[in-house]
Amino acid sequence: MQELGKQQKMVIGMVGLPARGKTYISRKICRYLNWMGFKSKVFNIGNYRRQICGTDCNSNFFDPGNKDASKARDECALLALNDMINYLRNEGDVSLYDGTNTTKQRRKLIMETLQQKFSEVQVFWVESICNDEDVILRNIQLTKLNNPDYIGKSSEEATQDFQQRIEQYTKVYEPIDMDENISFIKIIDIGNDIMIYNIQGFLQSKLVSYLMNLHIYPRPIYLSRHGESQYNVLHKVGGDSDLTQTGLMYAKQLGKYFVQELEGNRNIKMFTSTMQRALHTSNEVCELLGVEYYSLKALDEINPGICDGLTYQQIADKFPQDYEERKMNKLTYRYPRGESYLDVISRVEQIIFEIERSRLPVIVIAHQAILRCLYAYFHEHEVPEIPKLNIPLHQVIKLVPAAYYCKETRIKIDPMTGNWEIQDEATIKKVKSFLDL
Amino acid sequence: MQECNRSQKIAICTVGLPARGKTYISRKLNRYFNWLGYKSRVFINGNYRREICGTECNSLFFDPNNEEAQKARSDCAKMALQDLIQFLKNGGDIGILDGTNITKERRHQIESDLKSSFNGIQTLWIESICNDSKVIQNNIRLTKINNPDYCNMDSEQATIDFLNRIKMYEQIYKTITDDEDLSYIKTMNVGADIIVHQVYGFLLSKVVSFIMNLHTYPRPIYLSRHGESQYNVDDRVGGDSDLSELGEMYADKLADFFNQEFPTKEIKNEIIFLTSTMRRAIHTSDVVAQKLEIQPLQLKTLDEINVGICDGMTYTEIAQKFPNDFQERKINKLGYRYPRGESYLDLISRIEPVIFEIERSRQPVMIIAHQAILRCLYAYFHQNEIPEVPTLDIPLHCVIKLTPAAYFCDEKRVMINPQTGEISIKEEYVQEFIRSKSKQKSFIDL
Repeated sequence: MQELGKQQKMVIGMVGLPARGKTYISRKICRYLNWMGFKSKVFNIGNYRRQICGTDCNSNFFDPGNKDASKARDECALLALNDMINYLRNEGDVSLYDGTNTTKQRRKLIMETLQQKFSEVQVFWVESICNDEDVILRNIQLTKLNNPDYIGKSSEEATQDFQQRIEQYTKVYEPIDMDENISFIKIIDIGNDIMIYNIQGFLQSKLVSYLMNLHIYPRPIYLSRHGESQYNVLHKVGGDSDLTQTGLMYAKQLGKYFVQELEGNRNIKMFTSTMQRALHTSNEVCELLGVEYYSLKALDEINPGICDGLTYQQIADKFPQDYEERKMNKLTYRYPRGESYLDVISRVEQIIFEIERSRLPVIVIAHQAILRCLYAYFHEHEVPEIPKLNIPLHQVIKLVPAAYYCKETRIKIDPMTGNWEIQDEATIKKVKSFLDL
Repeated sequence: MQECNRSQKIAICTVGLPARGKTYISRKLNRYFNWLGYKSRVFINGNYRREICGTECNSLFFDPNNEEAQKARSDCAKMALQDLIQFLKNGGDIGILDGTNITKERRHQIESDLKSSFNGIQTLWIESICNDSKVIQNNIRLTKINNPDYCNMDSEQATIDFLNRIKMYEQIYKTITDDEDLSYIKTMNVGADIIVHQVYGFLLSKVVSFIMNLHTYPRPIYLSRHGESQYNVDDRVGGDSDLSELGEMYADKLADFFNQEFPTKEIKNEIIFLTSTMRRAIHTSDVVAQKLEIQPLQLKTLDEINVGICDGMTYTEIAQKFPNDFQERKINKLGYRYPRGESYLDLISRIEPVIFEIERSRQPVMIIAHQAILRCLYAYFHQNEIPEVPTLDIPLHCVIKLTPAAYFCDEKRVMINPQTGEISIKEEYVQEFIRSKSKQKSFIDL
C-alpha cells in the first residue's frame, strides 16, 4: 500500500515547549515510516545548535531578549531546514523537523521558506502539549540530564537550568492556531486529547492513526519462535509441520520461564499464528500461565509458494535462478506464488499497531521471518538488514522500550535442562557527531 | 484481530443539530463494524418517534416549550435506549444511538443509564458540527425531502418546515464540554477537523481513523474481475493461470468501455487504479492501462483467496479427494478455511486497508481483481449481510459501478460481451431501495 503515499514528499514539523516528547514522537514516526518503506530522517535543531554554538549554553542563551543568541538560533534553524530540503531532493521521502517552533512567526518562516525552495512538498505539523508537571519532570530526568548540554553538571543544577530554559520558551509560546492555515495534529497530555485539522492524503492519515496509539507506558515485549519443528530438523521451508520432542520440551520450559518472569500477572496479551508449531507451543505456555492467546493469520510464516516443502539444497537444484535472485535481494524477492519480506512487513503492520497500543505486557510466539520484521521495527534496524537478522530457535527476546530506544535482553532456554542463559545488550550507542544523535 | 478486542460492550451515541450527518456517520460505522465481524446495530430516535407519534409532525412538535410533545419525544428516546441496552445484553457487541442528544441533561441521563446497566461498557459520543449552510442545504435535499415525515409535502414546503425544525433545536443546543466527563469525538467540516477527548481502546481508535476518512464526495467505484482465465475454462480453483483468448478479448473491450467512461486526460489521471499481483489480473489491467495511459498499482492484498492444498483442483476433484472439507465448506462457506489456505473471513481481514483507502479517496476508483475479493469489497459497499458474501453474484465479463449516495450505493452493472463488445446495462437506484424498505411493518427497522 506504500505506493499510494509515495506521490509527494513530506515535511513533518514538530511544535512544543522543551521536554514535551517532541524528539520521542519524531523518532517514533521516523522509525515507523522507514519500516514501512518511506525513507525518513529526523533533523534535530538542538543538535545543529550544539554543533555550531557549542554545548556551554545555559538558559540565558534561550532568552528571547538575547538578540545575538536569537540570531544564532535562527541561523541554526535555517541550516537544518536547508539540509532537510536537500535530503528530500536527493533520496528522502519524509523529513522530520524536530524543534520547538513555538512561535507563529517561526512557523510562518518555515512555511514560506519551503514554499519558495520546494513548493511541491506537503507539510504537516505535530504539536505536543503537556501540562502535567510530573510527566515533564520525568522527561527531564530521563532525557535531558544525559544530554551533552549538561555534561559535568550535577543533576540538580541541570534540572534547575533546564526548567529555566523552559520558562524562556514559555514567555513566547504560541500554540498552533487554526487561522495559520496549516495541517496539524495536537497531542495533549499524551493522547488524552487530540485535535486534528485539515489532514490530507494517505500518509498523513496513517500517521494520525499511528500517533493515536502511542503511549509511554514502559511495558515489555517478548518475542519467541515456536519450538523446534519437524521441518526445522529436515531443513525444509514452509509446511505446517508439528513440534519435535525437543520443540515440545522447549514449549514447556518457555511456559516455566514466563511463569517466573510475569510473577503471577495474568494481565497480558499473547499473540500467535494459525500454524501447528506455533499453536502447540502457545498451548503449553498458556496452560502453565492460565491465560488465553489470540491466533492470527497475519502472524503465519512467510509463504514460500512453489518452494513449500523443499530444502534449500532442493531449491538451489530445482530453481537455480530464483535461488540466485533471492541471495542477491532477499528483501524484495518474492517466491513464485508466495511472498517477499516486503509483503510480510505489510502484513504485520496491524500487529505493530496492536503492540504499540497495548499497555499490558505482550508475548508473540511466531516464526523466523515474522519475528525478524517485528524485531527490526522495535530495535530500529535498517530495513535491508531484516532478512539476515539473527532470531534463533529456543530463545526469548525481551524488549523494554526506554526513552529513545529499546533495551534488549536475550534469554536462551535449553529445552532439555531448562537452564537459562541471559544476555544483556549494551544500550549506549557511540555517535560520531551531534548531528547523528 | 476482532477476537482480541471483543471483551467489552460498546455504545456509541451521536450528538448534533438535524442535517449534520449523524445518521450518515451512524450507518457508515454500523456497516464497518458488521463487515469486520462485530454484531452491531443502529437505533434511530427519529424512527421511534415516527412509529409512535406518527409522521404528521411539523416543526411545532419540536418546540422545546411544547410540553406534551416534549414528553412524547422523551419517551421515544427512552425506548430507543432500552432497545439498545437489550440488544447489547442479548449478544450484541456495539449499539449505536442515533439522535440529536443536544442537551447536557439528556446526555448525562443516557450515560448513567448505560453505565448502570452494564458492569463494564465503553461509551463514545460523536458530535457532528457543521456551520456551512451549503452543506446543510445539500444534506436536507439529499436525505430529508424523501423522509417519511414529508411524504405529503412538496420539496419547498418540506425544506422550510425542516429549517424551522432546526431553529427549534438551536434554541437549546449545548455542545459537549470536558466537564461532562464523556469520551467524545467532535467532527467538523465533514471530517476535516476532529477533536478527540479521552478515547481509548482498539475499536474506538479505529472509529477515529474511520471518521477521519469519511466524506460525501460522490465518487464512483468500478469493480471488475479479470478476463476469463485458463483455469476458469478448466473449472479449476487457485493457480496463477493466464487469460484465455476470450479473456483477452474482454480486456480489450473493457479498455474501450473505460476509455469512453473517462473522456478527458485530466479525469483519467485522477483515477486510482488497483489490481492484484496475479497474471490474469495484471494482463487484463495492462490492456486497460495502455489504452488509458495510466498505471495500475499491483497490490498483493488483492490476490485471490488462497485455496491451500486444493490449489489447481476442480471442485469435483476436491469433492473426491477431500470429501469432509467439501462438506464443511458447503455448510459454512464463510468461515471454512482451506487447509494451508484462507477463509472468506481471512479475506475480509486482509482487505480492510483497501476499504479504508477507497473510503478515503475522493477520486474515481477502478479495481480489477478476483471473484472472492470482489465479493468482499462489493458486500461492504452494497451493505450485504456478511453470511451472503461467499454466494454473491460477481460474474466474469461484467463491470459493477457503485456510486455511494446518502445512505446506500447506487449500482449499475455493465455486462460486456467479449466477442462483440455489446453492452447490456442493469441499474438499481437508491429510491427503489428505500421504497422497498419502507414497505416494512415498522419505521424502527428502517
